[in-house]
Amino acid sequence: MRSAALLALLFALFGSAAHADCSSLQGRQVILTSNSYDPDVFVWDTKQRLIDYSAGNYQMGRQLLPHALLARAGTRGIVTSCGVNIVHLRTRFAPSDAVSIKLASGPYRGRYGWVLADDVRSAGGFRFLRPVTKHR
Amino acid sequence: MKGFPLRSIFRSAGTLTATAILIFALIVAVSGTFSTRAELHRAFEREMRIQTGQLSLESLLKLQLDEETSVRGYTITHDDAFLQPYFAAAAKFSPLDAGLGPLLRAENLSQASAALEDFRSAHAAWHRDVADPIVHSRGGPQLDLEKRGKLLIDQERTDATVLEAALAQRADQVGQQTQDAINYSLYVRAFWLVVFGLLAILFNMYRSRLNRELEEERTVTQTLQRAFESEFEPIEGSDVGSMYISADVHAAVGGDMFDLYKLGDHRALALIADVSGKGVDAAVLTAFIKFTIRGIALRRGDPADILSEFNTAFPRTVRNPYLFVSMFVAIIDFQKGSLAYASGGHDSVYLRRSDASVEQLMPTGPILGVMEEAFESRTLEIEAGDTLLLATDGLTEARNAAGRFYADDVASIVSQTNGTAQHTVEVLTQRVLEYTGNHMTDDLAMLAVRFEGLPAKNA
Repeated sequence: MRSAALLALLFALFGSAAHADCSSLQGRQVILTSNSYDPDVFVWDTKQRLIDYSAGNYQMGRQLLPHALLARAGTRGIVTSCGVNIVHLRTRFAPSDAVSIKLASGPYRGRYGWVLADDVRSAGGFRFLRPVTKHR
Repeated sequence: MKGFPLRSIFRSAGTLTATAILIFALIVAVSGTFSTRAELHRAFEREMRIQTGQLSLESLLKLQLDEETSVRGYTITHDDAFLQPYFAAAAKFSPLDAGLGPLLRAENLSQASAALEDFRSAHAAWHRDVADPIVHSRGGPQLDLEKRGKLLIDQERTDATVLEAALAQRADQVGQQTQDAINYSLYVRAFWLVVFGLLAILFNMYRSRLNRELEEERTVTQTLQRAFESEFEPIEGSDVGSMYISADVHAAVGGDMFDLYKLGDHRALALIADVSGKGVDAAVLTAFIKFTIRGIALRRGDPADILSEFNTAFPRTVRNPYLFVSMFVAIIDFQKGSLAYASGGHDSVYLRRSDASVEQLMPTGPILGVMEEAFESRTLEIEAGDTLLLATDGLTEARNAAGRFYADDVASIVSQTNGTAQHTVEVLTQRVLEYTGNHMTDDLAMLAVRFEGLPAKNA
């Protein structure tokens, strides 16, 4: 039981060492859903703010908050570009990818922004992007 | 006569060593068991504590999710029914949260404790800045509240992940420590088992070797004893009985001997002796004594002279300063009805008169082989019905369980025994075995001569 929990934790911590080559996803339609307890997704106006928010604490989050849109879970978008291994989450040893999208539904339709690759699902079949893995 | 105690010392030392090894093994086993039990108990307690912490954290996250979901539902519907889980979860949150802090401190998880503090702050901020304004409909712009809520939830989630990782890592460490403790205990026990096993084998081999050597020596000695067996010749006018009892099986064979030898038509030599020491040396010495005394007695008629000559020859022949002999020599003249005797330190000889009175024939000189001193002869008249009983100290020094010597009772038993010479020695043998509980610590030789057909006193 304990070993299983540890394995799950290790996967969570090191899981992003194996991730999608997000550059191949350009132009693909995706759905935004956070894997956090709150399924809504922050869409940041710049890549750097996404990076800062992910690495920073609550105070920094509060300062950056005006630069984020809160997209409802299920909001559709189209991948325009991505940054590989540039986001360092506080709770992970391995870096994550950042994905640039154009929102295609919801109140912010037509707006551009940056989201964590973890918060992006393939539109066809709700499949995680992450399992389409390739070791670097 | 007591033997040289070296073998007995080795045997006692071996038994003591074995007992000490067993006691030590027992102490090691018992203390090891208690130590391992205590260590495992501590490890299991820690595991239980960590598991409790993990369950508490899981419950906290579930409550937080309930609250967040409840507020989200209320935001969308403005239906108060959605707030019921929010209030229920909020009431349960504090007790769970309060239990987690001491646990982390007990496990010395400082980073996790800091994460818990962050988690509490974020949760309190979420209640204060997000949930309460929404629930009480006094919030600012809805969108700002939701963004702030998301921010705080992300923060709580981050702190929870740190906590989960710390608890899981510590659980793994404790599990490993428990496994190490079990392995160590097993290795230590296996080591001691091998050590004690080897010691037991070595001790057993040593003991077997001692027993084998003793048995071999016993066989040789018994063979020699048979060759030089104490014996007597039938002598006209007398009834003779004898007995030889060996001590316990584990004791070496002793040097007790007796002899009744016809010196002429109406004279006989009666002899009993006890050689110091045991084993082959003592057995060989008994043969030397028998034939030497016979030879001297054929030339000399006085028992004191016999002992004196033997006392002179003995140390020159044996050349062992640790060997000495207690000996009683008597010359019986059946024609005259006289018993002339001399005793070199041998006091277990009795003369039972026909009227049942008993006289102990005390030593008339020192033990032979120690110093050159004069011996004295004494002469007693004997008549028909008198019985001369010669015994070694196996009779007089036999002890009962209370440690009391049998010597005190010998005279009275001899007095009460009226029968053939063989009957007399058998009665004494039976009594002494009963007295010692069949546990003879020394050999016993007895020779009884009952005088019959002697000339009457007045004839």
